[in-house]
Amino acid sequence: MKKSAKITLILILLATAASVGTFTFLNILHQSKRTDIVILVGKDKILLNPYGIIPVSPERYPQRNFNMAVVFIKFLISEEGQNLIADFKKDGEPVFIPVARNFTVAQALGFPNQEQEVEWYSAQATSSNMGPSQPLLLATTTSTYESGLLDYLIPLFKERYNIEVHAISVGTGRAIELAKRGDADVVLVHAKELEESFVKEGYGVHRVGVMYNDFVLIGPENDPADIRGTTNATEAFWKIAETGAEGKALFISRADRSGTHLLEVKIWALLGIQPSGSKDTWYLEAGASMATVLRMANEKQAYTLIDRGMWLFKKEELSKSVLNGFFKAIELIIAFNPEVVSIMLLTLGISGTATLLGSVIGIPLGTFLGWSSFVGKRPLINLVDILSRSIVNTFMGLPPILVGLVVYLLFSASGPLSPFELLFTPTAMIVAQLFMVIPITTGVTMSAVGSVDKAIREKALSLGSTEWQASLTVLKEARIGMLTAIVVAFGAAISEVGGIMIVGGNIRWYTRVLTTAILYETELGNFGVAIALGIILLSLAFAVNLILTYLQLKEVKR
Amino acid sequence: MPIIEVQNLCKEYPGKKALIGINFKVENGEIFALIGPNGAGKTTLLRILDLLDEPSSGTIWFQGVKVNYSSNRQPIRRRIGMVFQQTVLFNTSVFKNVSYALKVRGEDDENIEKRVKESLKIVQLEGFENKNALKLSGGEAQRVALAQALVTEPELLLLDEPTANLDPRNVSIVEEVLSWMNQEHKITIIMATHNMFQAETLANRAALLLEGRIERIGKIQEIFTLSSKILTKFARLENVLSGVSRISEEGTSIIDIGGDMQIEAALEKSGKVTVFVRPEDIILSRDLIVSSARNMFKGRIAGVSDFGSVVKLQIDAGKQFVVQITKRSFNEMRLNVDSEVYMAFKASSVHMV
Repeated sequence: MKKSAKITLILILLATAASVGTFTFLNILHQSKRTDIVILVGKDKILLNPYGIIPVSPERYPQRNFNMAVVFIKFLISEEGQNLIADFKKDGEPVFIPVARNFTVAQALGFPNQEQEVEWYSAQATSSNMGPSQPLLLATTTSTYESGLLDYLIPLFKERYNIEVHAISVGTGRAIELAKRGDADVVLVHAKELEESFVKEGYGVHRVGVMYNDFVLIGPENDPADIRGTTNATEAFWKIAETGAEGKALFISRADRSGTHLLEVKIWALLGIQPSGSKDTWYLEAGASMATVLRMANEKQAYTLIDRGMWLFKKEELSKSVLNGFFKAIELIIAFNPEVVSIMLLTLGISGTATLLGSVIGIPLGTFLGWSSFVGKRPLINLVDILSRSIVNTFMGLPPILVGLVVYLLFSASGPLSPFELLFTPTAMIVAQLFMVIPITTGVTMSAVGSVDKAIREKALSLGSTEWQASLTVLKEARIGMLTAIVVAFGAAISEVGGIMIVGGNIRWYTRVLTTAILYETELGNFGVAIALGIILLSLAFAVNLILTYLQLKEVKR
Repeated sequence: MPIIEVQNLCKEYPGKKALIGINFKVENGEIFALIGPNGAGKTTLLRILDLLDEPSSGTIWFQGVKVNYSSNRQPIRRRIGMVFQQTVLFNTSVFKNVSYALKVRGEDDENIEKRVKESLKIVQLEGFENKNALKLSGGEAQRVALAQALVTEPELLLLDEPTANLDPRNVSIVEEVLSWMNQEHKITIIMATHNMFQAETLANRAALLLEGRIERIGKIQEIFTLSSKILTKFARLENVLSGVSRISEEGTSIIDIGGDMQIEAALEKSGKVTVFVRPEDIILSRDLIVSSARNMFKGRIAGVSDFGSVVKLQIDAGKQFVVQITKRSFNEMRLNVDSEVYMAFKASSVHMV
């Protein structure tokens, strides 16, 4: 009774401390907001931003689902699909303008064969019995996904064709890289040159334009480079560079090989300059998502390039405090929002499975390795002992992102384990986490077994046990260390993000877990939501640790 | 037939001969003490008798059966119990610790329950069943270790310094248990000790072990009278003082122990003598007190060792003394290292070695 009261008190104190800390942090963020960044230049032809879609070539990667990709593209460029895109609005303004059936405009935007390609797609049969075996893997840019367009289109598509679409939203460069390795069925991106070479090199076929919007140049209200009202973006860039060199203006570049970044580089190249963060103090290379760069531009009163869709969605968030997002997220959690619940369950499922499997493998392995300290000190055993210990300890420090990369390359369509078709599935995430969990369970068990007093075995023998019974007794003495191994492994698994992001792809409803969701929301600039998800993560970890620690203490008392 | 007979036993480690030509017999029902200084080979011999280690050469007979390390090692070991010097308990409840030996012998639960209860009663730890064994005090833990060995009612009980590092209360409990087990249950006991008094009060016979050899073996009194010089070198005697003694007018001995210090002893012996004073016989006070004690010295506390309910103090009074007082007195007198104190002890507390 006394003990439970003590635990309750500690819980209350912890919760209070956590809330106070969070609110202080959020308030600091809140106070630093500034909202006087505005659109200064737009409507220039060079700023037009066309989106093309390309299925991965069936000759190159026969295992990819070409037919499904065709059905999806056919849907997007059909009259119905184009109308849906036109209807997708924010504050009454369309976010994207459909272009598939407007051949003149499409041609001007860099789709020279638009008419033939649309005809080709229209001629393809749409068989209705292809689903729902495998989901369609769509590699796409952050802008189509983060604007909410895909979350709006995909359910409608699924309703019609019973095909699940798994959207993996990454930068344009990485989306095309994924498709090149055969790890996606179709790419929807906005980078003309990359798309063209993708087709030319034989990775993709039948590139077709879907829609476009335009980029705008945004900057501080007081406009030190004096570019407001200019309709020539190139000229505006020149002025920014000039004013910047005088120390009066700043430009923030995405610097992440995204479509936005590629366009920016193209404009600088037209001017014959190649700004770089290392020599130009006015040029900041962020290497971050659009939402993050937008926030940076706002904080630093800098110029930057942004697509209109993103601007429409994100501008109002700049004036909203982080607290609003936080409270909204808390509301979602309290209301048991089905998506939040699914993310929580998936997180527990993946990390729990990885911990369980990792324990089943790692604990016997660690026992075996730790046992060597109980057998004689023959030189060979000593050497094996030293080697195995060093290897296990090295793997315990493995960076998750490296694990993710290796697992990705293994399961990739171009990798040795491609027949398992595990990439971008929860199973792949479990495998990646196993690589991190096994060294932990092995290492901790190894040291737990190794540190059992050698006198325990002799004591057991002296009390009349057989060799086998004595060994079992030694293992029992190490049981608390083994429980620790499980606790540590679960903590590492549930908090890991780099690895599972790469192999899981952060697909909504399918591979999105708490950590990847936190990362994603942070990149979107939804700090409040990210922190709310973080609190869920901590609470989950705490609940699981509470149970494991309780078991541990019970064991100690026994 | 002796319970155990050892013939020509040797144990060699690389570069060291731990036991050399050991021969002895222990009869059923005896308490046999192995005495000798640290490093004499007592523990090595006990481990070999428990069949944990194999001797380099030599033979052991248990109840007339020759020990064969590849065939009858474990069955014989199951008839022997051993209490190690370093108390090792399993990290689980006292009950599970004590029941362990019965569990591995496949005894049924009812029997286990009954016998664990009995064993705990013998070592005066009734009601300790559900406590975690690693949370016990040193004395309690050693008594659990004793119960672990007793629960199978072994024919032979081996004890390696069973009361080293225990406070007096636990020492007397352990000693009581041992003599009771020996008398009531006819358990044969072989115990290693360097506490002479313990050997004297408990054992029938003893072997004096020095540097891996049995120096002397026989009835306990014989050992003590014949080997007192050797014994004093290592036995757990504290406050051993040598000097020249003269008989006083009152018929006591005044011993000049050097350093301008004289001790009065209720002895009648002149010439060169070695005497000792038990640490618990010395009374400590902060101020000079008038008492019947014939010996009174002023000193300074040079060191403090905590043994639970008692503390041992090193007193520098020109000569080094060890004084044992209760923890309670120690706290009440607010003593500390460097405190000035007076030691007092009676002439009758001075014993000849």
